[in-house]
Amino acid sequence: MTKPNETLENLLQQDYEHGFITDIESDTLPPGLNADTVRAISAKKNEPEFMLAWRLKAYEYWRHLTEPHWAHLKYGPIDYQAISYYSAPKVTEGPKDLSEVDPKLIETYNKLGIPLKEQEWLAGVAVDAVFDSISVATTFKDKLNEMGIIFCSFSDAVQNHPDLIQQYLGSVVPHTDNFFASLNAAVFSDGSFVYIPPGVRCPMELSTYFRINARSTGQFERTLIIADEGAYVSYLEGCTAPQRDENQLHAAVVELIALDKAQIKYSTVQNWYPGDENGVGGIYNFVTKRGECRGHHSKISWTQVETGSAITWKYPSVILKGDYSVGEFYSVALTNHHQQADTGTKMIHIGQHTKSTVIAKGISAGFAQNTYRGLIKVLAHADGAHNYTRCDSLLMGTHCGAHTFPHIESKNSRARIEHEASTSKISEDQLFYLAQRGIDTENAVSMIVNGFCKEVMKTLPMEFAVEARKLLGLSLEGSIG
Amino acid sequence: MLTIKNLQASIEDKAILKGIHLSIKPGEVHAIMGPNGSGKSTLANVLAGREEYQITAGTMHYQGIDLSTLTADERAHLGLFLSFQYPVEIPGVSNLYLLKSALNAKRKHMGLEEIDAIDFLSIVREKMKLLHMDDSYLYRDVNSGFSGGEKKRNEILQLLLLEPSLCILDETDSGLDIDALRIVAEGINLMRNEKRSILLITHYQRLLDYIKPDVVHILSEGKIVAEGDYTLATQLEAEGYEPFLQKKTGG
Amino acid sequence: MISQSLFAACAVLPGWDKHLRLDAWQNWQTMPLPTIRDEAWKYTNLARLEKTIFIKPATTPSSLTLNDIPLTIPEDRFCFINGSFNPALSAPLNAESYLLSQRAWPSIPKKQQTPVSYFERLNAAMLSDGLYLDIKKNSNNPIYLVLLQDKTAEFSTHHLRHRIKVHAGIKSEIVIVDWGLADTTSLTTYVIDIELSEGAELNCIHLKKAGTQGYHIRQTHAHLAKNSHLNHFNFDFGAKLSRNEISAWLQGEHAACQLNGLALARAQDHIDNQTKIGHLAPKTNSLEQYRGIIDDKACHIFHGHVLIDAHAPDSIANQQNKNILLTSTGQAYAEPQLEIYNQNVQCIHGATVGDIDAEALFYLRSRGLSDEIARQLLIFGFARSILETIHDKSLQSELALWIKTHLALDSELILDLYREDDHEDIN
Repeated sequence: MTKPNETLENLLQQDYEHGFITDIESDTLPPGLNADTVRAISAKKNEPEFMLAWRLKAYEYWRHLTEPHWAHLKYGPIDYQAISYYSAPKVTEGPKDLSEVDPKLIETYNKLGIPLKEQEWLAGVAVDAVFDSISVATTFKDKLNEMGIIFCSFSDAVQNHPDLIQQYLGSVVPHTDNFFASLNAAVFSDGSFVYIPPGVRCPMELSTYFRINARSTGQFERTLIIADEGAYVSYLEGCTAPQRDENQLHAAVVELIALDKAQIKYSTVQNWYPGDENGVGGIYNFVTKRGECRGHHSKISWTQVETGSAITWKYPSVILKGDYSVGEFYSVALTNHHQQADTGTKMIHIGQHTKSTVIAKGISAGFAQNTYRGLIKVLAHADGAHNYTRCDSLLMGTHCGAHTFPHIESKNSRARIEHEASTSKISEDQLFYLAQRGIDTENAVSMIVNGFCKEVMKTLPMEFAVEARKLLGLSLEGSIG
Repeated sequence: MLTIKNLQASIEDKAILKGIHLSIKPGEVHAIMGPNGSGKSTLANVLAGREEYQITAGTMHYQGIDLSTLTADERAHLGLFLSFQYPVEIPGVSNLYLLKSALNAKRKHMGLEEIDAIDFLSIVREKMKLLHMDDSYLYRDVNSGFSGGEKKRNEILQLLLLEPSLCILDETDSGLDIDALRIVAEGINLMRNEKRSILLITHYQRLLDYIKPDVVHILSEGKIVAEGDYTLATQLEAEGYEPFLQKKTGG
Repeated sequence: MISQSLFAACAVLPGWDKHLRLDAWQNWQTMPLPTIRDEAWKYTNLARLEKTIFIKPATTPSSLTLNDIPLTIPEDRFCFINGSFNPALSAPLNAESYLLSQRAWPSIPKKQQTPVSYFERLNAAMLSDGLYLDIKKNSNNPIYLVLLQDKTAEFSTHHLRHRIKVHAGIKSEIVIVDWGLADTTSLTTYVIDIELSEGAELNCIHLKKAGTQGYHIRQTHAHLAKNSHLNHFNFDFGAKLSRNEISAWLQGEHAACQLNGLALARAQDHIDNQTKIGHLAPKTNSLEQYRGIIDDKACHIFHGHVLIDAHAPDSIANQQNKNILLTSTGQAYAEPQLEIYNQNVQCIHGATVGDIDAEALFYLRSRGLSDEIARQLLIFGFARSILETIHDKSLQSELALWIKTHLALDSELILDLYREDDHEDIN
C-alpha cells in the first residue's frame, strides 16, 4: 500500500518545466509608486488626456484603500513601493512582421512551445503575445480587419479607437472596484483589446500568451472585450513564467461586455510559477475578471484551468443584466506543495429569466490550501432566475486542505438556486482496480483526476484542452497520501 | 372524448408542437409513438394543463369542453388523468394522504360525500392487491425513494383509484422490467371499457403488445406524420422511424 | 442600549462571581457592537438594537401560569419568568440541579469565564439566573427548561445561562421553551453549555417563539466526548431579531451530532442561524439539516460551517440547507461552508433557495387538488421533514399544530395529515 505513495511523492518533486529567464534589456521605471509614476506610464504610452485623468483618479482612490485579507490565504506583506511599475522591451517601433521581432523573444516563445509561425494560421490561432508589459507582436490583424474585428494591444486601441475605450473602459470593473483593480487602473501597462462588430462571428480563437519576465516587475495587464449585438467570440488566455525566488505580483483586470444576443467565451490556462516545493517564490496572482451580459439573450462563459501561482485570488464573475442572459463558470483549480488558491465566481442575477451555471473542481495536494468562494445573488426583480452550482473537491494527502465557501442571497420567490458540493479522495479501490488492469499509479492518478475534471475540460476549446490536460497530468501526478 | 385541432405549443419561445390534429372517441385506445424530442411528453403536459407551455394556436376539447379554460386540477376533476413519465418526489407528504385527498377532491366535484378513512383503506388496498403492492407504499412519502418501477406502479394505482375517463400514459413502460410491465399492463387493461379512452405515449412497441391500440400515430418534430392501425407499430418496430420521417419531408 | 445604572441594578447572584461579572461588564463596554462589516454579522444589522434603550433588569416573577402557553409542559420542569426563576411553577431543586441565584455551580467552563463575543460578555455581566443540570441518571421523561416573558417585560433585558452535563453512558432529553406572551420590546441573551461525557446521549429540543418586537440572542456550545451523541433541534418561530449560534465540538472518537433546524419567518421576522460543527477526532459523524420558510417581509439566514481537522480522519459530514421563499419581499441567505484538512473523509453539502417546487405543485394539481391546498400541503410537507426527525410523537403533533397556526395553514388539512399517521401506528 505504501509503495505507490512513495512513487507519487517522487513524481511530485518534478521541476517546473517552463523555468528560465530570458536576458533582454528592459526599459524599466525605478521602483515606487506615486502620481508621477502614473503620469510617466501614461506619457511613455503617449496616451490621450482622458486616460491620464482616469489613471490618476484610480491612483487617488487606491491610495486610501488597504489590502483586503478576507480570503483564506496566508502570505507576507507586499511592498508596493518596491515594485517597478513599467518595463518594456527595447523596441522603439512596433515590428511589422516576425523578422523584426527580437530573435531572443522568438526563442523564448519557441521554448514555451508557442506557435508564433505559419502553423498558427493553420491552427486557426491569432496571437497577441505580451512580453513583459508591452505588446510586441500581433498577427493576423489584417484578416480580422476585413471582418471589422478589432484585435490589438490595449495601447494600440487607446491610440486608434479612443472612442471605444472611453465608452467601455471601467464600465464593468470601475476604477473603484477593489484594491487590486484600482491599482491596475492606475498603472496598467498593456493588454488586449477586442471588438466584434454586430452580427459577426469571429472565425478563430483569439489568443494571447502572457509571460512574466523582468525581475521585480509587477504585471498589470488589462483586457477589454466587447461583443456587439449578435456577435460571437472565443478568447484564449494562457501563461507560463520563469523560475525565480522572489515573489512577483500580478494584478490583471479583464472586462467583458456582451450586448443583445452576443456571446463571449473566455478560456484561461494559468500556469505561472507556483514556487518551489518548500513554498519559496512563485507568483502572487490577484485578478479581477468580470463580464456583463448587458443585452438580452447574451451569454458569457468563463472557463479556467488554474495550476500555477503561489497565491491565486480570482473570481471571474458575470453580471446578468439582460433578460434571458446566461452566465457560466467552469473551473479547475489545482494546488500542490505550498500553493494557495482562493477562487470562485459571482453571478449577479438582475434581469428576468437569467440563468447561471457554476461547476468548480478543486484539487489539493501536498501542503496546499484550495478554496472555492462563490456568490449567487438574485435581486428582487429577477423573476425566473435560475442558478445551479456544483463544487467538488479532491484531496490528495494528509496535509492539504479543501474548502467550500458559497454565499447565496435571494430576494425573489420566483428564482431557484441550487448548490451542492462534495469532497472525495482517490481511493485505494480505484488505484487497485486500475493497477489490476495494468495501469501504473501515475497514469492512474492522472486518469482519475482528468476524469474528475472532465466536465470542465470539455468546455475548453480543442487547442487548449490538449495543453490543459498535459498540465494537469504534470502538476497532479503523485499526491496520494 | 378528445378533439385536438391544429394544436401548437411552445416553451420559453421555442415551438415544440407545430399543429397536432387528433380525435379520440370513447372506448378507443390510441398510441402516440415518436423519436426523442418529437414532442410526445409536451403533448401530454399541455393536455394536463402545465402552465409553462404556451398554447400559440389551435384548440383542445375534452368532452366538448375547451380545455384551455381549465386549470390542471379542474381537468383532473373532469376525469383527465396523466400518468407521468417522471413522477416527482414529494418528501413530507404521505402517499396515503395524496391518494385520499385526490379521491375526495374528485368526489366533492361530483357532489359526493367525502369517503371516510376506513372505507378508503379497503378500496385502496383492493386496488393495490391488483398491482402486487404492499401496504408500506401508503405510508411512504409520495414517490420518495421509490425505484423507477415503483413510481410507475404508484401512478397506475392512482389511475385505478381515480377511475378517469381519459387516461394519458406518458412512457409508462420505461423503467419497468418485464414482470412489472405485465402487471402494469393488466392494471390498465382492467380499466378498458366502452366509455373510457386511453392515450398511450411510448417510444417502443413493447407496451403495445400488452395493450392493443385502435389507432397508432407517429409524431415527429411536433407534427403527426403517419397514422394507422396496430400494424403501423409493428412496421415501426421492423423499420425504425427513418422511413416515416422521410415521408414527411417528401410530402 | 444598556446603561451603567441598569448594570448596577442587576440582582446579586450568590452563585456568580462578582469579579467575573465586573470584568465582563468592563470588557463589554470597550467592545464595539458588531456591524454588517463583520463577516459573521453581515446580514444582521444591530443598529436598531443599539438605539433601543432598555430600562429594566429581570423583573420579579409575575402571576403567570403555564396555562398561558398552548403547549403541554410536564412536571419535570424549571421555569423562569421574565428572566427570574419561579419556584412555584418548577419542580423542586435537588442535589443535581444548581441554581445560580442560590448557589455556585460545581464548575464553570473556562470559555464561559472569559467570554469573548459581544453578547456572551453582556450575558456574563448582566446574568439574571442560570441552572446547572448535572445528569447522572437515565430518565424516560424529558426535562423542560422554560422561559416566559409577558407584557411586563417591556424594555427589559433578560440574561440566562444554563449548563447541562450528561455523565458517561447516560441518556437524557431536554426541551427548552422560550415563549413570548406579548409583543414586548425586550432583549434576551441565552448561553447554553452542553457537555457530553463518554457514551452519553442527549436530545435537546429548542422551541422559540419570541414576541414580534423581541431581540433574542442565543449561544449554544456543545462538547462531545468519545462515543457520545447529541441530537439538537432548533425550532424558531421568529422574532424581531432571533439569532441562534450553535457550535458542536466532536472531541472524542466516534462522537456524533445531528443539528436540525426549522425557521418559520413571517411578517418582519429576522431569523439568523449560525452553526459550527468541528470534527476534531477520528471517525466522528455529523448530520445537519436546516430549513427555512420565509413569508411576507421576513428574512432567514443560514450560515453553517463544518470544519474537519487534520486529526479527524474517517469522519463523515452531511450538511443540507433548504429554503422556501414565498414572496419577493422576503430574503433568504444561505452559506453552507466546508473547511476540510483531511483526505479520508466523506463530506457533502447542499443548499437551495426557491419557491414551492413547480413540478410537485403541478403533480398535486393534476391529481385534482386545488392550488391553495396543494401549496399548503407542500409547505407543510417541507416543514414536516424536519419535524419528523424528533422522536417524541406527542411533541411532534403539538409542534405540527404550532406550525399550522403560525403559517396560517388550513387546520383540518394538517390535522388530517396527522390522523393518517395515527392510523399508521394502529396498523
